[in-house]
Amino acid sequence: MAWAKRILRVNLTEGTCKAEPLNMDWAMDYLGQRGLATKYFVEEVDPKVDPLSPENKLIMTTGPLTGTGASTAARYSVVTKGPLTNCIACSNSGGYFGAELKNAGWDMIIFEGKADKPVYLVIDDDEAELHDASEIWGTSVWHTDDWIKEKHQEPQFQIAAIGVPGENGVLFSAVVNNKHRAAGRSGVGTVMGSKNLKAVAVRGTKGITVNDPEAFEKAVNDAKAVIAGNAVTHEALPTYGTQVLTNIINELGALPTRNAQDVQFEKANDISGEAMHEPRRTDGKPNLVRNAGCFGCTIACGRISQIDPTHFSVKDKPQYHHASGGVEYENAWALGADTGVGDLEALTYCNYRCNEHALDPITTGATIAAAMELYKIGALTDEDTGGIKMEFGSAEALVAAVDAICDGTDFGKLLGLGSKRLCEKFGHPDLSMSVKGQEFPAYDPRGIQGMGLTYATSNRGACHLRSYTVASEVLGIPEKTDPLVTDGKAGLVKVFQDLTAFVDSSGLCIFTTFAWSAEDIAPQIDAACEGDWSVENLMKVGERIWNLERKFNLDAGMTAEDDTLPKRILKEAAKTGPAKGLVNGLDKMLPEYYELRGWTPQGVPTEETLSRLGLA
Amino acid sequence: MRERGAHWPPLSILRQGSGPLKITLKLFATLSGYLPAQAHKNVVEMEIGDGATIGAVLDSLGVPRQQVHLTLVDGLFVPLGELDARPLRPGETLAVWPPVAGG
Repeated sequence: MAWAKRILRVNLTEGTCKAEPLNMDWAMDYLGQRGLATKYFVEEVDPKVDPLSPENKLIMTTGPLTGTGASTAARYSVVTKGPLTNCIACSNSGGYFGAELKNAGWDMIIFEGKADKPVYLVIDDDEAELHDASEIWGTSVWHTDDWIKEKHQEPQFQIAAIGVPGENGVLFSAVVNNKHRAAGRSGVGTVMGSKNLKAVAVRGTKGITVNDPEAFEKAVNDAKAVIAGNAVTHEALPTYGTQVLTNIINELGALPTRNAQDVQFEKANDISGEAMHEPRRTDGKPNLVRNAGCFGCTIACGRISQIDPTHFSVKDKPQYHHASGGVEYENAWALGADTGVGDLEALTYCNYRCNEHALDPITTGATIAAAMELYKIGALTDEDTGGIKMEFGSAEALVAAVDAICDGTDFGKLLGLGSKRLCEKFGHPDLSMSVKGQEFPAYDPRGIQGMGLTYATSNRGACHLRSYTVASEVLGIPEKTDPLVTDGKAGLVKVFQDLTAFVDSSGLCIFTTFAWSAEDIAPQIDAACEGDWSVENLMKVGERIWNLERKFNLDAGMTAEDDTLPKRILKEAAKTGPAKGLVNGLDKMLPEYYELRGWTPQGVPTEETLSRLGLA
Repeated sequence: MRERGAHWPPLSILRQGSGPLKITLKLFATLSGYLPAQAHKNVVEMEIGDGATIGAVLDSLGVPRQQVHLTLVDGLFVPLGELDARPLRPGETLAVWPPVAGG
């Protein structure tokens, strides 16, 4: 149990919605969510599929613990082949959508084909039906959310939707649920748009059963006590959110600044978690209104902000004069330090717009940063930008560029390519700070060496959420390692990757692992689900998932040559801070990583490895 | 969080003004309440006595040791067990955080 044991298959070409039993043999090998949906995906989709063709599929998937009483049991994922990366894509979101889907009695929804006109899906417990979306096509996530609730007179719908950029092929469109929680990366929203699917609205009232209720209650309560007794999850994350990292990473000399030309940002404190608490000079109110939690969360790290109504970005735009999702660390970095903009209100406006129109704020900011460098060297001109002076540090340019993407102007369409294609188009491919087409996030691999290997080997392109070695290298969780050395990082990355893969398959949030070890998580899964869910088996499940994703990417055409980093990170030394004079030592880590993984020197899983994991 | 300046002026180990043993102190998150009133945002420049350790500086400001989690000197990590053994040198930047995380 814990699984609903039922999936919904929606054929958009045919306009049909059909229930199918969940493949429980696969559930025993892949648990749920990221792992299980990836298994379905690789079984059903040609790895070489064009991500934006009807032949690609898109899966919205919960984990067995999603919607249960476990802390943070809010998570759901969107699995597809990503148009930004041409790799497997799996983006994870909180909020309330995933739990509602599970409570409606569905483990996952598989979307296939392409609707001949815009549609949205409505699920009301067992009933699923496609509806005409022509009235909301061309409108924002926020409008779509309100419109569907009003149309169906159901304020308790939980809704996941795309904005206009997702309809128009912007390659880093997200799927946003609850207006400001995002399955953010790799362009999963772009795939949704390519299928003429605008939104999914769910109402679920059926409840969820678990295998051993008494054992589950005990395991959940024990685990919640660990979160409540941990200073990070009980105090730090609720008070400052992820944004407390800004000053830490800046002090470490690992905050990529101005498209990673620098590693420290002189205005870091102005955009930090601390700054969000400071009263503004203009109205005496802080940017931060309160923290917020997703379904069932006992951490509540989310930021709810309100923009200064006199700020230039919203001065004549009352539609943004309300509290909504504020900047998290990655967003503040991408929109701020990476563009050189130290204006917290401008960043918050851009964050609102990324939520309103379902854009990945990391790629949005990093692409604008790359455009600023192209502009600086004269490769991008005023003619290309529509007259926007794309200068580093200009809040006006940042705001105009984000507006351009949302509004679909000619310059917005250029930015909508993402930094890799943009920089290639303008003759400077090395200025894209991306791996496998996806921009790396807020940790410079020259100052935090393990993150270089993390980015290079991430199965969905550069990403911090595939192996967050920052926890060890910076925060000392579970134990402190030196961020400036490469020794031991291959093993660290592998363990973090496998651990994260099974946590992402459970329905739980990865942020629990600041307090929980695998020993705290396993009893919850084991009590909820039939089968063996020991730590040892869960780590093997994680390893199996990692290798399954890797195999898909190799079959899609990726090679070891794609396991690399931007030239800047490998060749241009950090100019300041503790890492001054250092580049990333990927060449020292990668061969050891391949060996530890049981892969050939060419990065291909050996037959022995595949056989051991049941993937042969 | 303690009201900023509650421990200012600090004990004799700290002296305000310029001099050969000037350091930069940064206290972040909930520790910012322990900064002297002269601090700008999270930063203050201060003079310290010859040989003053990280631990002595923090004690002088009344920073509770159990709230000290991450300590960096010029961006380099200093283990908690070395706070009382590590003297600060002129021009160094000491940055301290309570338990924190992110992602």
